Amino acid sequence: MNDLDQRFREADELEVRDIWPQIEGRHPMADLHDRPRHRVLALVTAVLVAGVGIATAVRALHGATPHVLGIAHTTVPATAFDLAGAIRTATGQCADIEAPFGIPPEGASGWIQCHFDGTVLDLLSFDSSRSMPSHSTGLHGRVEIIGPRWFADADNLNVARQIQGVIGGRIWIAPRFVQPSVDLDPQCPPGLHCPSLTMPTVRFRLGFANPFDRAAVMTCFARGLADGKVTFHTRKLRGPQLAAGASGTLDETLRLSPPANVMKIVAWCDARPVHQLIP
Amino acid sequence: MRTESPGTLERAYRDHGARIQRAVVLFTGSRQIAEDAVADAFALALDRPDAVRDPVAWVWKVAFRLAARELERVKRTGGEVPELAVPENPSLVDLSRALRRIAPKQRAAVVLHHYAGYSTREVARILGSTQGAVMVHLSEGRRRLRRLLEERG
Repeated sequence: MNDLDQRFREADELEVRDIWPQIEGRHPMADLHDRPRHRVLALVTAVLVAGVGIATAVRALHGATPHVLGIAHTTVPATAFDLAGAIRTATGQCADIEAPFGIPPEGASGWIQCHFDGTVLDLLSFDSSRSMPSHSTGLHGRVEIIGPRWFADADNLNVARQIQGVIGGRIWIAPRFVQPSVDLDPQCPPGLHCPSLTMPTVRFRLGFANPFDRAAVMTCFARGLADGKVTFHTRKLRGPQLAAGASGTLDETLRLSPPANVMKIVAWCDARPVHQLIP
Repeated sequence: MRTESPGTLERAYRDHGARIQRAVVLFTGSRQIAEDAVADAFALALDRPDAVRDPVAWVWKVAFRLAARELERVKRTGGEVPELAVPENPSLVDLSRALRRIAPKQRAAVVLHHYAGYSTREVARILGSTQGAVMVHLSEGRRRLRRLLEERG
């Protein structure tokens, strides 16, 4: 055994977490692209469920007053918030900021997933100054609604149209979410194009202005907590951890990215062109 | 739809998962990236039973590719991977620091060979490279790594 082997043996002392629960809960992007029919079905189902849920939420929450929460784990308020109404009146620019390592910026409270009567609305909170967007790494096969300049995200125009029919807004066809093709398939020779696992090159998005503010997000979160149905995801929306009944400690969000890095990405995002708008 | 027996893959995870994670931590210098890459690789294997004949070999390969892609993304977006924190083992921190200073291909070859124990041929298969290229990366990586470790005393 040589010196390097000995040195590397020390790595066996490195503690690693049991990530099997995360693995079971994951829905890898590559799989979705490998099964287009499943993906379309999942998207359509998600849109339909979201549409029904939003409509239900409108009815259930109509006329309610926004309520501000300071932090994610404060006492749950009894007040509600017109979430769908806020979506309808929102407009904005691109904000799918991916912070380094998928970690929310400083002060952000991490991914929040609200359930209203079976509907899933995935929201991302942001820092209290509202000046720093948080990341989006994609909620595969689901409608994505994030902030602070909000958009819903769809893989194809039909789905985008369906979402638009429910919540309005304008569809942006933008070169966002362009990711390099990755050869994950062992049968795919390095450097060659493997269609079955290639990421999409264009995504459709619905843009809104007048972004949700933190109060809206936190109220949504709190309402879900009150219903005992909220889960939150501390990173990349993977490995959901049940928040209901938990202390609310967001361990993962303690690992924060430097604001300067986030702002660099904001600048990068703002520089992206929007190819086309569909009213 | 997942048709792969979760039990089979879970056994593979229980037997090899920690070692793969550690190897990817050494490669990336980040527990976070390693966890994501390994979890994604296993999840993909779980979802792609037809494409995965040897789950362990497949996960090694995919985890390293995903980790490499993430490192490239971090670099492209101006981010920085925080230094690996292992307070109880300063020697391991030194190793991680030194590894970060060698080229990714060299680093991958060194980790897969010296930590994971793969032959150069197997390393080539995992990295999607040739055995000759791996031998060059390994040789140069070892040389640089030794020098960096010596500098650190």
